[in-house]
Amino acid sequence: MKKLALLACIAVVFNACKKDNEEEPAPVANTLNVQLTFNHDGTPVQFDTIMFQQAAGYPMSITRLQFYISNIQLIKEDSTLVDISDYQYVDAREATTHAFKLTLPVTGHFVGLKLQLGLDSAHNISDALPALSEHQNMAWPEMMGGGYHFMKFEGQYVDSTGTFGYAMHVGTNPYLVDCVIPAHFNLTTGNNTIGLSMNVNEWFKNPAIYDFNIDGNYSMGVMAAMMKLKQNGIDIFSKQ
Amino acid sequence: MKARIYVTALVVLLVTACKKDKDISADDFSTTSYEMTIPAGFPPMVIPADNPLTVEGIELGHHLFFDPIMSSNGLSCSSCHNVGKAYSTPYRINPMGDTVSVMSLVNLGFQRNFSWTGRLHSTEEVCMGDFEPEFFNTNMDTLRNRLTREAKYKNMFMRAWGDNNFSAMSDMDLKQKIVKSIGQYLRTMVSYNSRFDQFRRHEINLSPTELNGMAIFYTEQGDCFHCHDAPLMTSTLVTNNGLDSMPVGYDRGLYNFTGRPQDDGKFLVPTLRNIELTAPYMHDGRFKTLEEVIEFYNSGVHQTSPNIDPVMTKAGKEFGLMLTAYEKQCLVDFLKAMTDTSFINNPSYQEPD
Repeated sequence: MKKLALLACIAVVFNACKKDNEEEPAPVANTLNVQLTFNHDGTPVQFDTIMFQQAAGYPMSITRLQFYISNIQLIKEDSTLVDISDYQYVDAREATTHAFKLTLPVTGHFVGLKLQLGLDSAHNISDALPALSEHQNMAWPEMMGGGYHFMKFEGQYVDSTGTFGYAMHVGTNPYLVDCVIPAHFNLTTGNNTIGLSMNVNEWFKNPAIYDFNIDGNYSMGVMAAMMKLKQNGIDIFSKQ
Repeated sequence: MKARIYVTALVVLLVTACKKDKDISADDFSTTSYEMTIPAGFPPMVIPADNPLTVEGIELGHHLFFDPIMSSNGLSCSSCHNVGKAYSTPYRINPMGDTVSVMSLVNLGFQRNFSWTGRLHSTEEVCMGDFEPEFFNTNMDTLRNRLTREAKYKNMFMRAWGDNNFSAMSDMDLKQKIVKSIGQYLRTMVSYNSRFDQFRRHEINLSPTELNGMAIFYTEQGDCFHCHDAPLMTSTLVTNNGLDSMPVGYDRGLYNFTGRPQDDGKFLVPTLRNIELTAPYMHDGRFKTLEEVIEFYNSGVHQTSPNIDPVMTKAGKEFGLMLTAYEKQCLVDFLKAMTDTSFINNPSYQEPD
């Protein structure tokens, strides 16, 4: 019995020594999982069906919605900003692109988010992004300014004369869309999740109504149309 | 780049030549991984996890591609994918009596969607359909007998798959080995050296008319780039380009397989690489020349076609692109700059000895 007690004692001492010599485990990075959803004035987006009412009054469908999100920033209570992302490609039809994980450099209470819809000038250079099909399909021709489409938002709409297509394409540096998402939230150590929802109809309202038959059903290279979309785009996202 | 591909082809020949001289048993079966060189600016190649590229698999696929051994009607893959037509053929008639223009074979390893309706998602899936009555009308027992009689294939199957006991293979097993081999071979068929590729690499300049054509192609004037983007010169997506105001039968495209109204009139965007060599054009070969194709986009698009791609319905272009005769010729000249003669003449893609 005495021998057993001695052995147990040795084991305890040995393990205690061993623990002191072990390296501290690497700190686990705090993360923020961003989950995107898409709605049309509150109704979840469904593709290929004329079922939504565009802000100017036209029944409309959505067939394509692809875009980049760049430079996500957290807004602290003192209004300083914390950079947390580079860029993300999103295809609303591809669920695998709806969620992405970001490393969180700080935790605490925040009063909102900022992000840009599109690519900043450092990335918006032809062939600057990795040679992947999704980026190559977003190429904006050199002859029209180069870089990438910031967004392709397409579908059909109906007016009194028939059914027509619309293609809201935005690109080139002056039309990078600055989005602000006011919301109070806490981010803690470990894993955090935040939901962001794009109201696609906000592209067509606030501050100005975008009318396909007046502003154009095709925006690529049409500066006035792209500027109106850029200005309307500031509040397309809300926190869920 | 060109030299690297030839060197790789030479290595394939040497490796396989060395192995030919001895009988290989299943016991010493091993394959040689084939290192694919991806041209700069090309997307990653899509290679199925269960069918990695091997020197031996590619060699077998190369021989099978040109051999009518799989068919009961004398056809081989190369019967419809003719070398001189950039691995396409003008027409075939499908069982419903529709005229079908056979798609060319190029850069398939980078694609995600296949066939005119884009409903197939790998070369293996495409090749599997070739055993059907519509194509080879394969009799599997006859195929087994033919393969057993040919020492070449007995050796090649053993080297590629470690198995040449054809009589013991199930129909599906034998088909899988064949389509995987041909799938591997097709992925090696990479085109990256047209004059337009060389221009993009700043190696050459294009002629004034080609440059004019490129300006039309890459601006809203022609707006070709949305569907035919570089380097593949196809988005590899399905779309309705307004060929018919009310598609019927074969012209309904993907709808014929899904039954979904939103797929009516949709077909896979074909690559423009080697387009000069692949007449006639569109899924049914309705246009005999590139000039006819451009005239369609210039003045013949049916804007009211259901599901027409929104980029085809730009306001102000209801009456077409309004290109002049000179501009149309420039566009044709630019399209011809996408012909890759080094690809067409590459001995690695010709009928093997």
